[in-house]
Amino acid sequence: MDTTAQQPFHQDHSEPARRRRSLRATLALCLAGLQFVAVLSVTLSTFVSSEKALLRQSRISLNEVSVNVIGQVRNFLNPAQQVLDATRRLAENDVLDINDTSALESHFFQQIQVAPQLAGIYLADHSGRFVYVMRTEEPGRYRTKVIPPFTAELTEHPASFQWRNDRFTLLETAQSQTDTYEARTRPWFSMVSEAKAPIWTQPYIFFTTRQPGITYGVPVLDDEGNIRAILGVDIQIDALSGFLLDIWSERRGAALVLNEDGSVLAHPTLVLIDQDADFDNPELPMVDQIDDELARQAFGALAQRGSSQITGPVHTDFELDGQDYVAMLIDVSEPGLNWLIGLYAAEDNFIGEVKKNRVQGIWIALSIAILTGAIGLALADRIYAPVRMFASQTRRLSSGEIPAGESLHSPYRELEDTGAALAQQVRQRQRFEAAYGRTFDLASRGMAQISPETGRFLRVNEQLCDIMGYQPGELEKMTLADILPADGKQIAVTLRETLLQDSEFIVENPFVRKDGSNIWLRVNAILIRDESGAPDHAVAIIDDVSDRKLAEAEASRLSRDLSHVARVNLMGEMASGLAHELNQPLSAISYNVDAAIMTLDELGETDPELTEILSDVDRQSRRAGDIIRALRDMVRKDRGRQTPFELGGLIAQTITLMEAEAKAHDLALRYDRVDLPPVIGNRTQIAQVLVNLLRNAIDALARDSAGVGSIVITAHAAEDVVEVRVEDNGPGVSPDVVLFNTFDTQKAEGMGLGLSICRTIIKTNGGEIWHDPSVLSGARFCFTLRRSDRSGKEDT
Amino acid sequence: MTELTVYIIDDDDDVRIALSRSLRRRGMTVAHFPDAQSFLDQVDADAAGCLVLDYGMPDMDGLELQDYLVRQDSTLPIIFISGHGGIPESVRATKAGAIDFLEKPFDLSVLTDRIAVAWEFGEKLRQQKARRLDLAEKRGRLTDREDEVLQYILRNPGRTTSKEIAAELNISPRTVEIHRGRIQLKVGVKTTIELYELFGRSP
Repeated sequence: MDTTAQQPFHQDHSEPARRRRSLRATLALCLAGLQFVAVLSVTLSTFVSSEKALLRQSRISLNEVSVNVIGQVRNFLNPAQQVLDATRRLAENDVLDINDTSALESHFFQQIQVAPQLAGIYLADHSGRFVYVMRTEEPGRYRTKVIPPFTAELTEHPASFQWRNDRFTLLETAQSQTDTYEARTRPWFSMVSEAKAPIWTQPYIFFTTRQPGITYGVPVLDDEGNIRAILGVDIQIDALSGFLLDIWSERRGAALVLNEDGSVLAHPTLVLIDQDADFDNPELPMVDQIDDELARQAFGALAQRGSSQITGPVHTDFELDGQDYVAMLIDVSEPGLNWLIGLYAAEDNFIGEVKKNRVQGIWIALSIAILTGAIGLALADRIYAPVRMFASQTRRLSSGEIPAGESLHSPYRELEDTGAALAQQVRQRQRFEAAYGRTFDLASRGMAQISPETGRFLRVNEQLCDIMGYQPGELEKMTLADILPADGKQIAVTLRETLLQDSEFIVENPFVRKDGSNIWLRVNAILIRDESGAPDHAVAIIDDVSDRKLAEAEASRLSRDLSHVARVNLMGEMASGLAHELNQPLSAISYNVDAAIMTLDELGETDPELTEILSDVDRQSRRAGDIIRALRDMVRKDRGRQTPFELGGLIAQTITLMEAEAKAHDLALRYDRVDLPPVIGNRTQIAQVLVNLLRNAIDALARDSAGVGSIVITAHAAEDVVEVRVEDNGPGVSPDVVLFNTFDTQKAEGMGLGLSICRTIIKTNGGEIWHDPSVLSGARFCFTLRRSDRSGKEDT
Repeated sequence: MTELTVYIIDDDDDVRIALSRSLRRRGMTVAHFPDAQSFLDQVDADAAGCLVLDYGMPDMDGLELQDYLVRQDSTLPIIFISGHGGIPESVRATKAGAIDFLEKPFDLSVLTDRIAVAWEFGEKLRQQKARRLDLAEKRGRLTDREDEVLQYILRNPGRTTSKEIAAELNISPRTVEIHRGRIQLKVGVKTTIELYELFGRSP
């Protein structure tokens, strides 16, 4: 088995393999991928769960802090409440006489020292009386302001001031007649008057200290429940900031106290009231406006929604500058006090260590993944090794490097079995390929494998090389278009289109041989697809049909010649027939005139005119005879050239011409061609004879529809002539018909010239024609033609 | 001398009758037939006269009748007449002994000329045939041995002595003398020269 024959098949197998994944890669990928996914999922789940736990933990921490802050805030506010509530109880029980100004002052002085955040304590009633003890900016120095009752309409009234140290020692006194303070118009006064119960005012900026603060007010009621006076205590809440700072000084975080409207009451570090703020109406800054990016992020949006929405703790997470933060907003839950505590802190404060551990854990997991991946790859390689060896053996087996008789060995039983089956397949394929190759090479017809896309010859056999005149190997470098003539290149395109539609491609066309000569080829091609259904190659069977094409061309030329000769012959035969028919009566006239003249002479009649008339009749009849003779001679002259020719070919061509006519009548037309010596004669005229005889037979069979009509032509060589027989199985020749006579016919539409023409032609060509009556059924017409190789025996 | 007759055979009635009429007007004895068979039925192959025969006829045509008559050793000369006589047919007919091959319509004077020739020719033929028959009859009278001797004499005109003949035929000269005497007696001649005159040089 030669290697060229094997080449296309080899490609067949390697082509689809390239498109698939390697077993080795798949195995490695699966092993490594699987453990990677396992490690990753464990790590991730840990990561996610720890993330949740951490978040929860940080929230809990914040909650704890918030509880602490709330407690502190209460503690901050509690002293004011206790002081005022105690004072109220004393007043209502008349232990403390609220009309005694000095007693009040003394009591207030004691109470204000209870807690540093108490900025001042005071009492006011509807008479406009006002007693007020407050801290001054100077530590350990207190001021008492007393306004006696005055009419509410007055804008100015007298007031007295005393300054004392922390041991109640009077330091300084002052009097003013133009004091403008009116307690009855203050918010706390109206709020308590209205509620008749303790109230917290909204935070505001203290008039005197320009610090944010709030006022706690309680009424002093008489037994009837009427307000006798109103007690108030001012709490300076900037002190809260210091406490907040204490809570969270070193961590990245802060606690804020916010009012329900989102204004900031206390901030650990910020100065809330600018020195350059509106002096008369200073305002607390809103949380989304303060100079604290984190606070803005954490509470900006929440504060704006108002505290009414916030019942429990509200947690938020956010990120700023790559740092994660947790934040929380919670209400203080003190009756009459709608404050919020805002807390924020960096996440690392609570879980920084844990996070660090987590990163470490991920690195460890990754290392394990890589390590186990490498082990997996090594393992895959080890598992794959026998497969690789098997694959290489398989390749060598299919390429013929290993004889197919040897089986393939492998440590895997499955592979061993597959190997045996494969070897069996290869043996079978090699046998098939050998047979196919032999068929291809030894075929009597031209064969080629052609690429359907490019039209390139993949493989050709010797016969095709012979047909095209190329040396073996030359055609394999060429395409179908290369052997097509310039005006036939589109055939290569048609071939591709036809084949790709899975149709059979058949064409008869001239092709160009290597020497430039044209040759008629019949190309018959089909497409072979590979296992995946993709077009592989086309197999073409190529025949040289030049001879047939030539014969067809000759037959058509003969047909043209025949129609001409038939016309000439028909005319000649009619003239000849007419001449014969007319000759007889003309002769009779001539002889009768002669007899008449003789009779006249005998009778002694001497009418010269009668004699002249008879002489004229005689002359005219002879003249008519001469005309006819001239006509006949003229026609007879054109009998064409007689040359030697091959009778068998002519019979075959004639049959080609008449086949359509025979088929139209369901008649079989047969000629058993045998080798014949050449004959001499006018080829076209002999064809005319054959056509006439065949047509007679066809007409006879067509008239008689019984049975299957058949016409057989036979020819055989005799001593000096070749005899041709045309036989049919029709009704035969009627006994009362005189054959070969002009104008004598059995046909309804015939003129009776056919056989007559045949006889004339055959005689002119030196042969004989006759009807052989010895056949039992049908008709047999025979004619002979002289052999050109026996030319010495001619009659003339 | 018997009366000379012109026998006309032509399938065309008009031609045949007109021709007969015309020839009779010229004083000839004419018999005519529409086909070859009726002629053969009624006329002897050695009849005196001549045959004017149409070439193309159904059944037996002119050439076929000629063949037949030649085979019968007929002495009747034949003049062919034809409606469409071609050169090949005329050649064949004259080769077979026809006087002429006339194409219709022919001049009657030509035909009468030919008839005259034919009559003369026919007369000669009949005489030759009569003499041939006479010689054959005379030779028929000889015994086998006598015929043998006669043949030798005719074949070897230079060696006619009885001795030479006896040596050749391996018999005695005396016997040869007896045979020669009987031969001359039987065929009616008196000398060997006369034998040669009668039989010619080669039988």
